[in-house]
Amino acid sequence: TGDLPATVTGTVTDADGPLIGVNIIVKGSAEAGGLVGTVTDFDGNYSIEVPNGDAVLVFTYTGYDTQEIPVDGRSVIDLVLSSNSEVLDEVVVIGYTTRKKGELTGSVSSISSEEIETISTGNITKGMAGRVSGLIINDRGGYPGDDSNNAVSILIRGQATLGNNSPLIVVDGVPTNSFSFLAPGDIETFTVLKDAAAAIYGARAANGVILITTKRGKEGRPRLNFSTTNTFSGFTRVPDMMNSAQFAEYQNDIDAREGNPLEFSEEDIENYRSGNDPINYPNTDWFDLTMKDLSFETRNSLSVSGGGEGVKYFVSGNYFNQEGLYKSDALGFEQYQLRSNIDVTLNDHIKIGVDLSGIQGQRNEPGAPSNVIHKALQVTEPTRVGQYPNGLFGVAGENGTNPALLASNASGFQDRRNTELRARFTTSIDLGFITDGLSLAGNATFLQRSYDTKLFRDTWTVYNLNETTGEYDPINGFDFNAGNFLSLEDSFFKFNEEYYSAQLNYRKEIGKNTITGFIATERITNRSTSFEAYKRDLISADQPSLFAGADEGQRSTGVSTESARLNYFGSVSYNYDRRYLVDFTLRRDGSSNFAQGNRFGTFPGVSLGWAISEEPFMAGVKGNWLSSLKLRTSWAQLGNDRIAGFQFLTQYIYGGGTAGNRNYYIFGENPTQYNSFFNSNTPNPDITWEKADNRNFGINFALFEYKLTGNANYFTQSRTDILISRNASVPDFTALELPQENLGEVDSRGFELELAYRNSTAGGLTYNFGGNLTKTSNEVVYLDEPGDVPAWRQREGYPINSFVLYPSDGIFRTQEEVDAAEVKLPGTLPGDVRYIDTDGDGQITGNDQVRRYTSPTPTLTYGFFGGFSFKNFDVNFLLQGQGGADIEVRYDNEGNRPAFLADRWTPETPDGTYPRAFGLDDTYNARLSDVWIRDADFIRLKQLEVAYSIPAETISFAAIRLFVRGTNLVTIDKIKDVDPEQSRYYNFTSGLYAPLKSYSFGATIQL
Amino acid sequence: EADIYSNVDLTQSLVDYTYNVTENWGLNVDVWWTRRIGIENASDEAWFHFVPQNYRITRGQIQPNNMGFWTQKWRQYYRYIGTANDFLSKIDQSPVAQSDPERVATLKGEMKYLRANAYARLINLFGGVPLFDTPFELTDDFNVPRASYQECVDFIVRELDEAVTLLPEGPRNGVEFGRVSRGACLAMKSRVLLYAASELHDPSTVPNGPLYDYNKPDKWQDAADAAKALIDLDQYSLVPVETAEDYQQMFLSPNSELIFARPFSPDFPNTPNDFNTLPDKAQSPVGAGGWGLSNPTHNFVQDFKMANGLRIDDAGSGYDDDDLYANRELRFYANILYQGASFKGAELEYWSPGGTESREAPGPNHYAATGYNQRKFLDESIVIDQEQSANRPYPLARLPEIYLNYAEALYHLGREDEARTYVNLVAGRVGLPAITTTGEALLEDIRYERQMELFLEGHRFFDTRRWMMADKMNEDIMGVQWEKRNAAGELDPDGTLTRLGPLLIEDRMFAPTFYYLPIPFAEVEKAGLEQNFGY
Repeated sequence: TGDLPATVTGTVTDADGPLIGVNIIVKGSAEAGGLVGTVTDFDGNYSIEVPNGDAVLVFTYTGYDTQEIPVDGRSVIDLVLSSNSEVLDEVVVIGYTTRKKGELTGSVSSISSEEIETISTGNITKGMAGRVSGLIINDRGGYPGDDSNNAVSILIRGQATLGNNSPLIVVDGVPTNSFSFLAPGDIETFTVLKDAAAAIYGARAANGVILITTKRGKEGRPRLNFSTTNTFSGFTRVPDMMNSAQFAEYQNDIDAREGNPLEFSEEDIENYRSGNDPINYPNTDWFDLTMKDLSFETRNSLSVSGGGEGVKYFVSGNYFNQEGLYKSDALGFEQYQLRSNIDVTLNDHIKIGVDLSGIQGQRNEPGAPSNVIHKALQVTEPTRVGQYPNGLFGVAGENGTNPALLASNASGFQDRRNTELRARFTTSIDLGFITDGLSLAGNATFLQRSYDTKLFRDTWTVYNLNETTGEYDPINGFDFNAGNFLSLEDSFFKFNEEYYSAQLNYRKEIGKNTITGFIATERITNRSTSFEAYKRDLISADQPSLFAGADEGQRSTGVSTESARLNYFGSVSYNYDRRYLVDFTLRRDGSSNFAQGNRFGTFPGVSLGWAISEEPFMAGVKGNWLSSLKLRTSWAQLGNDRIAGFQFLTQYIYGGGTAGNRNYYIFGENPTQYNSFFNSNTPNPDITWEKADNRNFGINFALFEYKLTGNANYFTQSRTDILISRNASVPDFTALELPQENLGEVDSRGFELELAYRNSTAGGLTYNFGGNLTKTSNEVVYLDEPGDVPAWRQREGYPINSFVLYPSDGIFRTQEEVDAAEVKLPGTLPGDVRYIDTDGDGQITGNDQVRRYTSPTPTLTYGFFGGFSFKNFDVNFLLQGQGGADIEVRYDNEGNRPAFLADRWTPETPDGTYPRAFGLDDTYNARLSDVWIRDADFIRLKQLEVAYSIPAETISFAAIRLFVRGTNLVTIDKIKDVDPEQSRYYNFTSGLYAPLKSYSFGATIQL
Repeated sequence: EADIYSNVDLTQSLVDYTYNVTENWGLNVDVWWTRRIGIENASDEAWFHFVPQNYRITRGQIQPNNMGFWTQKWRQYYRYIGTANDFLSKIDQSPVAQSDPERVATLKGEMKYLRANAYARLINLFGGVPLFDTPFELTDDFNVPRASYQECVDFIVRELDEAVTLLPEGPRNGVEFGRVSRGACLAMKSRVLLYAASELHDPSTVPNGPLYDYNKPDKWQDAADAAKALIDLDQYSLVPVETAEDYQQMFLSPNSELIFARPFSPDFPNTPNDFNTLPDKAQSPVGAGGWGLSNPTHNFVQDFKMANGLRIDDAGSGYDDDDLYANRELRFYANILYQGASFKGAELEYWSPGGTESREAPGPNHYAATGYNQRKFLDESIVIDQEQSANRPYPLARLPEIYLNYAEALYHLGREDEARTYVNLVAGRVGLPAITTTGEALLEDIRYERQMELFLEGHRFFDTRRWMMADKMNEDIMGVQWEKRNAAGELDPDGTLTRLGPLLIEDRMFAPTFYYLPIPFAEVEKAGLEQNFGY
């Protein structure tokens, strides 16, 4: 180095591309009297003369961290600026409008698009867990293409109602049902509205709102962005089932207890244990036979964006393919997405947006439903041959239900294609010619979503080795729910929605006074149509089409529905010098779910903010160590109308029904089916919304030049008029088909905390870490309870969710203990659960059951993140955890059982963890007792990423970042046997397809 | 709603729904297993292979909140009582009552029968129950006491008497087969009055009190009159039977002795899981592709008389323990599948190793643990899983029951001659020699006919209770097994057939508490209902 002036050039970018107009100055030059500075051009390029090689360049850009970079003798310095989330001018998307961060009064959290792009779970909702406070997400399982509650549960600030707790999800201004399969690279903003900030969504906002907007073009040259993520996933945990010897011993113990003949001899058990005769004494691990260890998943996205003064564009395509974990490859999900967001500036007054997007997905599954497959995986006895050495599959279970074949196309297939087409036209017209600051915005969105499902059920062949002849006798296998014949069900569902809104906006700044506001109206109409047809006895498996079926047994059905909403709403915000801030919102909603007279509701909200740091008396502190400090409070009334419609009417249902409630009967010597009517509900003419009264007290702060930022909130919600059915107090003999009634009352409260620290050293090391935490609790104030419920089962005054179970005092270890126990179930033996006589009546009865006020929904959730980047490397991690959750892990089954039950009481192992062997619905041990409730607290390494950016010196035309990433890598918990994040393990009916642990590698390339 | 009560075809659909209250092959439709199997496994007729303990009451394990397979019974019957109450409270003021008075009268008669049927089943299971004939409103007080047993019986009889006047004369056959007829009402009345007159409801027996007692001096006369009223209708006649096969076939289609039945369709209905609830899948032996769920007990098999009319342990019966299935009465061969019997053209092999019905037969453990499967109700002409029996109804009332109801009432009235006449109509039809016994022995013969003639038709559970046969209900369930061994004593399919057992299958337990089911725990908690004796 030396004193010679030199020229430094380079490009300044952010995650999305070049930054135009970044200020670059030579540090100290202004003070020295000769400011040396420049700005980046249209392509983010700059060139600056520096006085010497030791100079330091200061890069500043609104909304981004200021960075000081020593020149260190270099002539090319490329820089990636990262946006500063707490800079007051950053724009945040909130309901129907945007706000600068400094103007916010509500409780709002957001996840940046950069962060979302690092999510490599197939269902991106799961990747949001642990990233911000107040958003409580549980990964309930990794079934490909599943975005239902079975796969993921979403709560904002916990549970506040006995009814539906799902938040409202709004994508590009229009309410929708899920965002799980949006392309991560298309998401620009992800915002969670938690308090009065949600009030503008009125009748549907009580559970909070998630707002998502997709990316749009920015002015500049075309930028191409390609990313690829390739993932290998396996189950976090696989239920370990008993082996043959364990199973045989267990089964014998049951038979002995029940007084049934023993199924296995000592010799049999010895043979199973030795494993020397895999044909006569097999030891089949059905999971191993059916499932593979890892499946492959890939996501590839390409986008091009840019624009000039007239037109800006963002165009992207995304391909996603997820294999299932069945060895057969019969399970998988594939999805294509295209998106084109175009903005046209017609003139100084009129802008137009035209957005088109399309999603097409296809999920392939075996013909046998997943619950049948999982039943076979769990209950099929290990003592049966899975696959003979010559490759033929064994009989396994009932009607040849070998899980390896069920989980393959041998059982047929279920192919579901889903398409979603969305067209959105927006316009904004500057009405400045009427009065300054006035503008009009319109939005018309048309949505069509369809599902097209073909379910073909096939039969297959399994074999039984006939010892006498030495031949493999073929046996026809089939799922008895489908029948021993080929059948086909074609179904189609189509949903159309039209959304229109008009919004008049106003913004005016007079001196230090800023006033903004809008009034708007929106109208949503939708209709859905479904159609379904079934035929059996198809002529061959090669013709899975309806025409190839027989006439006998054919059926078809279809349903259409329509609904509508009409809403009016508006908001006024005022602030003085961004120091005193106030927001009002008001909304009037109409819903066809309720009777005339109860149909419209009004939902007000108000929030206040006080930026103390802007006060003159803080001048000494501000800019010293305090960067910003703001107090906020809010109040709002919101609604929840997520209930079945038309409960104010008497409804009759015609035909069909369920196995338990057949809505038809058969008459005639030549039997003929007569569909019937039944009254499916007793009407409740008074039914109306649930109401939520939300309050929030919050503080936002930033210290040390925004290096340390944070916020904290305390919130309360009082939910009234909760819609519940009086199942708990109305006896069955009344035969009332109970409607929901506005009865319940729940109070909930909690606090949230977010902290983040980011800094960079002169040596080029940038690092950050932080965490968030949400603690919630709720209490039932009023609900329906049986007339004389004892204190130990009462719900009022306790949390919403609970288990009703028999309390126990461990297990009877010896006959002496049994004999000495004054209270026990008649016939109790050593090894049985020792139940507690709660009511003290000297017997163990149903009245001894108590409520345990915990549930699979955690009361505490937290995330802890961190990362650093140095030169071309960066590393980041996310730990996520929960507390206060319990789950039921109970198997009450015939057939095989999980291996952990082998650790049980036997005369030889009186200290076994679990009760003695028990069969299905066993009186002594199978009932739900605290023995089967497990603490589901965990902390999990949710994400760990290591990335390397190829230096511009190596490749100058593109910015390339290579990464490896792991998801759900390590879990620390107390359950061990199964994944703690699923909601329940109960036989083959819940806890089926576990969450996934995955390893990804990939690259992003920007041109 | 206004539409439904303005068009009589739609009005009829409300009645059709309530028909689902009638019994069928399964104990109840809400529970996986018991959609397929019935009440027979709670009696000495049969034993359920998979979770026999779930009948609870056979082991003295039943509790108000642990009712096993009985859990839904209360709710199910009351559901249909509710729909009947709703209908009957609205129908008289409805437009159809003006426009179609005749059809409406018939529909009312059907509904009254269906409601009476539900109450009749409830009082058999629970004793006196809450009794009401108008629908509940959301705003009602739900603290309703249980009515006495006698009040319930009186209500049922009154309703059935009224239904008879509303219904058309003559049996309802052809397309109306399965609809309630006068005969159905009289059959129900006969059964209810016979039950009420029985020992269980005598105030002198335990349990007693208003919830269980029926105390009318003319109770046996009333029961006899009710049965006679149906016999005097002269609309039904016994189906002649020459062979066991004739007898078996009789149950596979509507016939002249069927008073009331629940029809089943040969089409696979559109309700999931339905086709395998029919007996061919649920009850056929495993080698024929069935599940053999209800295994007839060895106890029951040994109750079958010999063809000469003697019990197997009677002197001179000719019973041979080494050839125990030889020379039994006709209904044994028509109703039971056993080692060596022919089924669907093949001989059944219950023996190990490798017999078609043996425990090691391919597939899961559907082998008959007692050594028997049922034959009654099975249609050997169909392919299981692919076809259903064409028009096999589930019998709800048959003429032989009425004859036996009458014979039993006559016996208690001391009219033994007439009693013998009617019991012999039933016994003689299947070729048994005429019964000539008197006194206790005659009662035994009447009970025997009831046991065998009404096998698997849902009577035995209640009959053993109303006769207070505590010993029978306490009796352990036995089974037999078969093996083939060669000269070296090894299992060998070419060896000699030998019988093992009788072997203990289930250790049963009975106490007076178990004459009735407990009232479900939640109902007691919600409505403060009085719990049953002993629970």
